[in-house]
Amino acid sequence: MKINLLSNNRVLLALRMVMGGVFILASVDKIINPSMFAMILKEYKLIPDILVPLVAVTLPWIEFFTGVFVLADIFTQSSALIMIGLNLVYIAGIVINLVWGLVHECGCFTIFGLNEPIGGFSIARDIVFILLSLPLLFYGTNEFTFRKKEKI
Amino acid sequence: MKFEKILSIIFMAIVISVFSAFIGLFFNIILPNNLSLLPKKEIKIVKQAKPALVEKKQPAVKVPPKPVAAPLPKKAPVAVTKEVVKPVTAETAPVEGKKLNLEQVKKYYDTGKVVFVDARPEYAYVELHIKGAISLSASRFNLQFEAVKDKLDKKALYIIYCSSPTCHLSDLVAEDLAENDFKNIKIFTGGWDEWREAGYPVAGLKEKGTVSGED
Repeated sequence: MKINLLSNNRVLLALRMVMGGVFILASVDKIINPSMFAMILKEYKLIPDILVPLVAVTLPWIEFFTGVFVLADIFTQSSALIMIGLNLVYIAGIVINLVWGLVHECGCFTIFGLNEPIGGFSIARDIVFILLSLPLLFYGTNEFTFRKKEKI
Repeated sequence: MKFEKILSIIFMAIVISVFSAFIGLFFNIILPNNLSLLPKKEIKIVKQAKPALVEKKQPAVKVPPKPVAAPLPKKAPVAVTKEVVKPVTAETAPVEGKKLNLEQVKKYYDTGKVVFVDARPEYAYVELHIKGAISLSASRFNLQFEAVKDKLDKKALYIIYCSSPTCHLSDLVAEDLAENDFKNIKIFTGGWDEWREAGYPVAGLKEKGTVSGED
């Protein structure tokens, strides 16, 4: 009998905890400091200046809610899809900037003083996040159900 | 996975994104240090600040020092410091305390013997910064510090600023400087936003000759 480790409930639970936590932690500082995040977004030179404030205000909240939903196991597959999409965009942004020779702040995790310039580590980390999100996309649930407590 | 299932996952992903974006927009309205979504407002602030700069410059006899990083070319990796004037120490400075407000910072600025350190990203520094400040961004501190460390006086007083009171990058740079035996460090809590709104001297690529040009 073949057992798929990635579809194991405990593995999925662990992945949800990790990815949910990561996305919430990544978003908090950006939510509190939108002007700081906007400056970092400008450094990437990928978004038109007029759209930078809009992205700086909304993107952290998308990260936050996908993290919360994954933690709470609500619409996990959709949230995992967003996580993968965001990480792909981040990787593309970092690679383009590195190709252009622009090395600046990543803006990925500014909480806890984790504040590094873009580079190979940022790309590798985002790839790991994508790999961790894939099992949630394929084997997670996309339901929103309230469980009733059983009365004794 | 069935096609319908895939569609429902994508649909919900869009719904979650839109929902989150609206929450973000709403939160931005109630956030004290919110971000203006309209670029015109930003320009207005700069225009209002300019006359104030001219007015305040007239009575000012003391000119701030030039411990300055030259503005970066767009793709330059590190901001380079030209020269550093020997500044006052914390003992001789006009105000006390590690965290400084705008008024205190201005007093230090007027002495002309303090080194201002910009902890924001280099891009923001190159655009506009406190006139006379050097750039030591939190993320690239090591690289930038290597380039300027020989010109910095460890006994001098350094005032570090970030963008706003909630920005903690100045704390990170303060720690880094302290690790490199810089003792006299103070933090301007209000940061760049307060300084600019007050109309005090600024420099950078976006400040073309309104006060005294680039530093």
